Amino acid sequence: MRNARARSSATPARGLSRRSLMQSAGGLSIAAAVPLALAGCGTGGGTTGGKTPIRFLYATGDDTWNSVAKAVADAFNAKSATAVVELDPLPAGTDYPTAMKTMDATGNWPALVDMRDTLTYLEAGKLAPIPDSVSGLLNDEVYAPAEDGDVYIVPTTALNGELGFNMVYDKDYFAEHGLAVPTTYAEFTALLDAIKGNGDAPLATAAGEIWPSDQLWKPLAAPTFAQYSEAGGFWNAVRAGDASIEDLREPLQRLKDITDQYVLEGWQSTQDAQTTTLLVNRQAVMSTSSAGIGRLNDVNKVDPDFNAGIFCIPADDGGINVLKDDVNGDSASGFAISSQAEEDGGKEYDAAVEFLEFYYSVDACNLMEEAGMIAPNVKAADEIVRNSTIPGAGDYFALLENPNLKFFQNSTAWAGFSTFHTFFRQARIEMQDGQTTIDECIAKSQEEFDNQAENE
Amino acid sequence: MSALKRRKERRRLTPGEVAVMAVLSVLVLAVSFPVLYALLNSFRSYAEITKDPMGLPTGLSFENYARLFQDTDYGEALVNTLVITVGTLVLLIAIVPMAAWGIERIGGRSSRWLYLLFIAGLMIPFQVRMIPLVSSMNQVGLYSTLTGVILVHLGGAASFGILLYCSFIKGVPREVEEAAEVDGAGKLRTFWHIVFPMLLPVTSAFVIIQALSLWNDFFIPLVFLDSSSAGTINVALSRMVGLLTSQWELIYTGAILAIVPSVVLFAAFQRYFIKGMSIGAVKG
Amino acid sequence: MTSQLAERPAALTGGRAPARARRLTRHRAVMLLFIAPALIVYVLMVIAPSIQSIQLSLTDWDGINPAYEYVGFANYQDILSSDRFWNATKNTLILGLGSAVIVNAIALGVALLLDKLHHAQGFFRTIVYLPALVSGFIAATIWKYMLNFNFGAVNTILRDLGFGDAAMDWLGDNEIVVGVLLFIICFTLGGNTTLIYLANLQSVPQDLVEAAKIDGASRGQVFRYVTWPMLAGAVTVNMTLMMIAGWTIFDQVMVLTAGGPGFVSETMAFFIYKVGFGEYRAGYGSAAAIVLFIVVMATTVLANKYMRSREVQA
Repeated sequence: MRNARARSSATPARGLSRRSLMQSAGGLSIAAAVPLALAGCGTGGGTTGGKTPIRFLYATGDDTWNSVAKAVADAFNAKSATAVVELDPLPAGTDYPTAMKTMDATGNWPALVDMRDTLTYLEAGKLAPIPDSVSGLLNDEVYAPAEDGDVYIVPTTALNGELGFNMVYDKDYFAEHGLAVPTTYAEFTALLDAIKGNGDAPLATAAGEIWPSDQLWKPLAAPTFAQYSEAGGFWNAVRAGDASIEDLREPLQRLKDITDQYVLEGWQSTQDAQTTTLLVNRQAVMSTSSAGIGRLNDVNKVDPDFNAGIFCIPADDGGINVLKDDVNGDSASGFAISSQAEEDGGKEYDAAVEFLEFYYSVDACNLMEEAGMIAPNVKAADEIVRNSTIPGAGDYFALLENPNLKFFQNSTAWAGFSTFHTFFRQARIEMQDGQTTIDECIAKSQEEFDNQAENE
Repeated sequence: MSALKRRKERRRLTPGEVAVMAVLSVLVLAVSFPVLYALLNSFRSYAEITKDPMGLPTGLSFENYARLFQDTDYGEALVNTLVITVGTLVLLIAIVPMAAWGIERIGGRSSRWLYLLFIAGLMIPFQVRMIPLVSSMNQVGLYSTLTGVILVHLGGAASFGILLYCSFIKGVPREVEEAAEVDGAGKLRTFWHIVFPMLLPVTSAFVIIQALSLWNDFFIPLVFLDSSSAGTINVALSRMVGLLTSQWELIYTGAILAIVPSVVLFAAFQRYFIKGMSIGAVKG
Repeated sequence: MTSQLAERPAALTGGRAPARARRLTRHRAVMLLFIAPALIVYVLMVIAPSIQSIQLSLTDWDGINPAYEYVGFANYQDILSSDRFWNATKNTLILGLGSAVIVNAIALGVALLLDKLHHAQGFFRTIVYLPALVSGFIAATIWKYMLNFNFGAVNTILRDLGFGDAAMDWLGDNEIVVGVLLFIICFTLGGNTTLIYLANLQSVPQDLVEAAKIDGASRGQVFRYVTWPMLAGAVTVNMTLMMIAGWTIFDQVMVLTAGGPGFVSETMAFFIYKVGFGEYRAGYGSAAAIVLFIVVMATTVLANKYMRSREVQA
């Protein structure tokens, strides 16, 4: 994937980027010329064949998103006369925010960033406003101005919220055993029982990294969260004292029950991408995912004969509650342009804007669809050629049309939330694993929440 | 040192010795098992490894090795690691022996206090200085540069170097240096021409110990090199583990490639290595 | 030594007192110049940041925002009342002390075996050292894949051999995961530690050993009363070095479990990294680092005191 990095023509054949050569030189001559090394390492803002090079930092998640980033960047580089995008992929998960944090410490922000913990960085003045020429290409509901009236973040993909938090399942197995996609939570547990009754493992999930533990939790908690949608979201209600983590007892109980009874052993050390292998190897009938069509695409790549489908875990009343994307606040994610790109006459900023304008063009959207990702909600959506060749993709589009689908909001517009969120995930894994009781999990999470809220 | 010399008369190979050799061989094989396993699997494809984790390679395919260099920044990381290791070593040798000599010869209370100041560093874990160092490196523009990593390494290795050199210099007679000074040689010349050659045994021990630990270090480059750098081999490998979660074949290959240079280095300098280590050991 | 040094230049010059003093001052100034480069780097890279860490530990700095406030000892209070931190401390003690004792025992055993060899000792010394060339990070990375529950080599072998029940989620089972970490850290023949013991064993005077044997001492007795006391110094050095390394164990934890499942396998070093860089709590992380420093210093000093006293008695 890294070979996608556009190398300048001046780059030596050994695959060294110019930056690293200068770093090397700086390292060797340190005793004699620390200031020289400084000059060599810090700026790196030269031009590449007359074009402005900009870095694009993003979280690698699934293969699909990696190939989208590569395809779009390649197309842009071939087309643009003024800018070159260099891909800078970083592992997702708990380490991505860490990497962003260290990146921030460099004072050497890439011009384009696949943003997390948005508010933290916005408040620290690290982001530049995104101009109307970019946001104007998008449907109005997928972006929103921050407090100061400027837009700082725009979506990387279709804003279908957390609709991608799915169960991926083996359709052939379902057909063979006369099983159907559940329409209520009771049917879902009956389905798990039926598979277990056949002597098979119903569900593979992963907590080897911390973030995939959300894949099972969020659909279970969604009905509770949805109740607070109107009132400004669950976490805001907790902060205001109108709700507490105690209110999550039922979904936590369900999480615990499913883990104890139906989840394939070894989930504690399984990594997200490995659930695909487990599914394809038929070690489990279903697997959790948070990548929607992307995951179906991955499955298809590993085993083209595998007949995969997806569904969402329904609520008791049959509703499918899906978190709507935040277009603002700390949990909003998407493209951001760093304020550092505005320095030195704003060449990098202009290049980043040019790339985003391309990203939201019909041509680029078609590339994304081809690679297996759903293109962002652009105004010209009708002109995009949708990809329906991935097995199971129809299930995803059907979910979008499902009459029981209810989007809810749960924004967390304060910076300390991400700290709490990581803690809460770990505390849940601890509870699922039987190290603590649900009571203890609730108590320690509430304590951490209060601590973090206090620190604001 | 004289105690090291043992009677070396020819003896017969006793059954006891053969048993000891057998036990040692088995131990080495057992402990090397993970590495041997990774080596074998670096020649196998993903499908082969997944289907039969214990199978042997069917042929000597270097496809994984080629892919590692084509698809990842491994080559760049290799160069970075080399620059950090060599750069740090050169600078360490340029400043540490000299400082140790200075500490031993400055005399008086300063001698003891300076020594203690340096030795205290042995008890300061890297984690203690990590967070402030990141922010100050950032302020002076050295964050995520190889220069920055080298500087951090220098500080960390200085304590151990001073400990090693000072204990050795205590055993070096002063008469020679004093004679040189009477001849009118400046202190700097005295040091590099007279004293430093006498320190060669401990220098080889120091270089070797540091070379291995610099090459193998993970934490310092992890914290001080960000995504704008390809990182060191260990950092590159840890990023790969995130990027290629289930592509065992490349992870195994990367691990083997990380070990090869240290084995080559060891093989080349094996003699000096063991000797140097033993000197360092007896002195330590 | 000090008085010696003061007298020597005098003897050399044989001159009057003021000249001697001048000479001495000049000598010291030059020596200070020799020390300066190392001292500057060391102070900038080690001493200054460590002191700054103490300052940061009294703040609520998030590591990003330039603005922060002093919060007194609140971070320390939070840390000392946090179960998570105490669990990390417990793991650090288990892994640090455990690995120090086990690796030293292994290394001493291997050194004793090597010492028995009169043929090809050089060759065996070399191959015994080979495993030590593999860094903890690389070894852990390989182990991570070998220990995978569903696809890993270890469980596959167990299942193929019919011991399916013994197949475990080595890195995911909270009851064994710290033990597995300890095992992997100790899966070595000691490397440097072994060489240090071997060098010391070879400096044990053979006359003493022979004399003891003539007096009718058994092998065990020779080891207990002759060899072991002679090794006391090496034991002190090795235990101290291993303990300092053990308190800061990070690589293996980061690679193998990332502190999980939940928080169960976090160590102090990992905890500091995690809260300082992953959770935006630089002030809190600094406070934890200071606590780690106190632990390292206290245990090193105490252990050294204890072991040195043993040396004297022996």
